[in-house]
Amino acid sequence: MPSFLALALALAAAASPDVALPDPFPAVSASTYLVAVDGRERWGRSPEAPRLPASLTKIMTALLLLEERWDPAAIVTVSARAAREGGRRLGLRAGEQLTARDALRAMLIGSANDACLALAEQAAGSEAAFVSRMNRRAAALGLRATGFDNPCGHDGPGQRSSARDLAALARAALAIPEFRQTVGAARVTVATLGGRRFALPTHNPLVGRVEGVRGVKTGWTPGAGKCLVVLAERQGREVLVVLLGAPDRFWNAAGLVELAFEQTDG
Amino acid sequence: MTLRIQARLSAALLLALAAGAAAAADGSTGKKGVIWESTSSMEVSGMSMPPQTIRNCAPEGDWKEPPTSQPPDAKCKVTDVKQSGKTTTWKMACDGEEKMTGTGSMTRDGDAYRGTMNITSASGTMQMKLSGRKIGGACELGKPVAGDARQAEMMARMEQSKQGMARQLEKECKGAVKQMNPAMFLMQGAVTCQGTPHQAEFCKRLQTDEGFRKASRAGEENLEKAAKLCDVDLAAMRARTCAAAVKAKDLAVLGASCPAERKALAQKECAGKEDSNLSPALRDFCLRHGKELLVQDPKARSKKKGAAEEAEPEPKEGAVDQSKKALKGILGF
Repeated sequence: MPSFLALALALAAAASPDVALPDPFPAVSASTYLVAVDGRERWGRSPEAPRLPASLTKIMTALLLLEERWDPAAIVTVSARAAREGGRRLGLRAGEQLTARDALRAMLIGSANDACLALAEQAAGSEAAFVSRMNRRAAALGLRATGFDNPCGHDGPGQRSSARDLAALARAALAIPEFRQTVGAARVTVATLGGRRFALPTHNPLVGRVEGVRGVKTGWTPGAGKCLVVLAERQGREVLVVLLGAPDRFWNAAGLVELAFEQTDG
Repeated sequence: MTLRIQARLSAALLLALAAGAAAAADGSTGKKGVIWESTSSMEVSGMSMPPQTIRNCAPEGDWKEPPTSQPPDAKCKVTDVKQSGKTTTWKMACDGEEKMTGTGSMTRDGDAYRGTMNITSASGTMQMKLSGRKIGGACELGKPVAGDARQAEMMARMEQSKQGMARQLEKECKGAVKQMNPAMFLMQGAVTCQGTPHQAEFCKRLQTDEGFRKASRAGEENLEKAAKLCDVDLAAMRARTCAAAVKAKDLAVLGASCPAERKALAQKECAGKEDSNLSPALRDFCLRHGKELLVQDPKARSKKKGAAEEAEPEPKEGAVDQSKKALKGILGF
């Protein structure tokens, strides 16, 4: 009987998505983190806990844009509101135009909020309409801890996601070749149709320096702290690391990538 | 058996035959011989190769040794040479790029001979059929027979290739010593600087701080091989060099070969610091050794658990603290 009980408990635990993952690296300086290897969660700390996602939000924005009638050559016109966006920005002026492809690259590599809002407004007619789409898509993806107030990652009462949800969101976006290719770039140059050019290096120092790292997205806000989603591929294996509220995000991510490849089976 | 090995072996066998059993293949012996014509045909792993015929210079009278070969990168030994009537048999074993073993048999009947060689290596088997007949006429052992253009060309080509390889090796070895790169110096297989005149200089420099620091950059495995080659006490050398690396702010050496100093440096210089605030060298160091910040000291972990688990090799007690002290105030980044 005791062995039957143990089996039943084990089965119940395996069936639950909220089973606590091992956290073998207490020195990871993050409020929450998740490491998945080949799509399987291996290590984590409160990966289900909702947190402010900062610019990791832009992964959802990119996913929606790329899924819905994406035309990279379409012309995006910057609204006055988009031109006033705070935080990281290209410095676009109201009325300036650029291709959707360049705006997407500015949003994902430069984390430019002005390009982000311009894209969202253009795609849905207004920021609010785009945010509604984001929330519908999050629900459709089964992201239970995720909700959005805005498309670019500003802190807000309804802006939240978890490490687990962000890993699922990143996987959905990475299935789209244009997203995968864009976030893996170490540097891009974008231009307005008026000829203003912007050289944008990635904010992720792991790209090009840690073997197999394909980038994805960095984020920071005063409320969220430092955040990062990073993908690494080596010899057909894939490690995805999500860190939220992580002062040492880059060093910790580099360490977790190495440890995941070293210590987990294929 | 790779095609390269086959080709080399085949060429070497023919040259050995051409030069005569008792003559060196790479030069004149000054001794007189008599001209023979030798034909060899090969079957490699069931596949026949076209026969080759050359004229060669063999000693007058009876041959006392079988016509074995020395492939250019092989060291072959002939053993168990037995003669029974007109037939000589022998065994052969070669070290080199590809190890080979074989047996041979040759029957001499007056002015003709016939024989076989069976050679086995990791990549297959090769059977060589040999035959020859005396043509007559004087020749010099170890020199191409006059008028046999193919043999002369083959010898010239081999000599050229040998010289080219020697030049290349000389260049590689000089470069390896200059860079103090153990991986380059030791290389792989038969091509190595080990045992060349460059070894003395390499080993001398490995025992200097500067040489050891440079060699450390090739990674622990290569460093260990180099220390073994040069009979250097790695632990003592490391202690001295790591102290010097701290002073020289040599992150590459600290990263590659100084675990205690590396951990202390990662904790001091990486933790709590954002990428954009660091020098490029330190940023690379922090990325490369990010896991130093995550993996706990095994001793601390086992003490905490109170478990008697076998600890991994670790720095000497207090080494991290000592290193922290040493680093404090020295590294100005």
